[in-house]
Amino acid sequence: MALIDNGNADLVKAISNNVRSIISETIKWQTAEDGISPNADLQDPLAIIDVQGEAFEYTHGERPKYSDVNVLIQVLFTERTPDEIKDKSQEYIHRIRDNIIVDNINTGTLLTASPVSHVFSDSVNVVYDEPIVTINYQMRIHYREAGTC
Amino acid sequence: MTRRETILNKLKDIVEDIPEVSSVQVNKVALPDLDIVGFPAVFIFGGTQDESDKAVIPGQKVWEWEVFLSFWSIDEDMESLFKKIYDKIVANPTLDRTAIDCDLEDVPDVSVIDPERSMVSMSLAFKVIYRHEFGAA
Repeated sequence: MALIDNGNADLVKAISNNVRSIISETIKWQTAEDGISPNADLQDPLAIIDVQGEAFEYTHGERPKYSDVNVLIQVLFTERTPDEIKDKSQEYIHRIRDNIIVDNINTGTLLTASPVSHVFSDSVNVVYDEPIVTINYQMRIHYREAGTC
Repeated sequence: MTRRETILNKLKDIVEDIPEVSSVQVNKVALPDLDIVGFPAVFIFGGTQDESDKAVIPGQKVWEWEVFLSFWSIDEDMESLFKKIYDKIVANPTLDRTAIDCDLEDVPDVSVIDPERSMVSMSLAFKVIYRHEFGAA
């Protein structure tokens, strides 16, 4: 029997990979993980997916264990016009909210088990440091731990 | 080619697109031959750069870089030429997506180069914010 069980580690990696795929392939934003050659276009906006940790719950009894992955999604874009800052911020916030959802995360290797049961949008704020606007979208992804049913 | 070269070349392309500008040179070290160079002439130089604190992007470096545009002219309305160059650059602040941003930072100054020929120059300092992958300038 293996001393280290990578079940949950692989599970949370798959969750964060799927979040990145949603941003890259569905929303179609460049992410910080994408390589950029010196001649390549710098896309705007740019998304940063920051997995900030987890919260584990202690359970008694028979029910499955659930945990939360804390994810900060930052969206950076360049803008100076007040109306455009407001419009783009609102548009980008709701693109995240509309696309990073349970059904979109439970895909690929997660499709069969479908461990993600909820995405909580804990807070969203917008910071302007001319000319860069940063949206900080803090979310928790609630998942059922590997090996529990 | 570095990201800096890409940016300087893009600035050259943008300024060359102004009909009133006769010649544009990038990072020219030797003194120009005033009898040969076409006027108005624009010289573009890269200056110092510092790491930006405006954005922290994992795996990438974000820089704030001073880029100088010095334009020399004979008996021209320098304010008019300044406006044409300024308008052209700030209308395209990402320099066709080679940079995050480019904006005029310092107030231009006019210097007399050759009073006999009414030759004057004006220098503009732009701040370019750009990013590149860590380890691949």
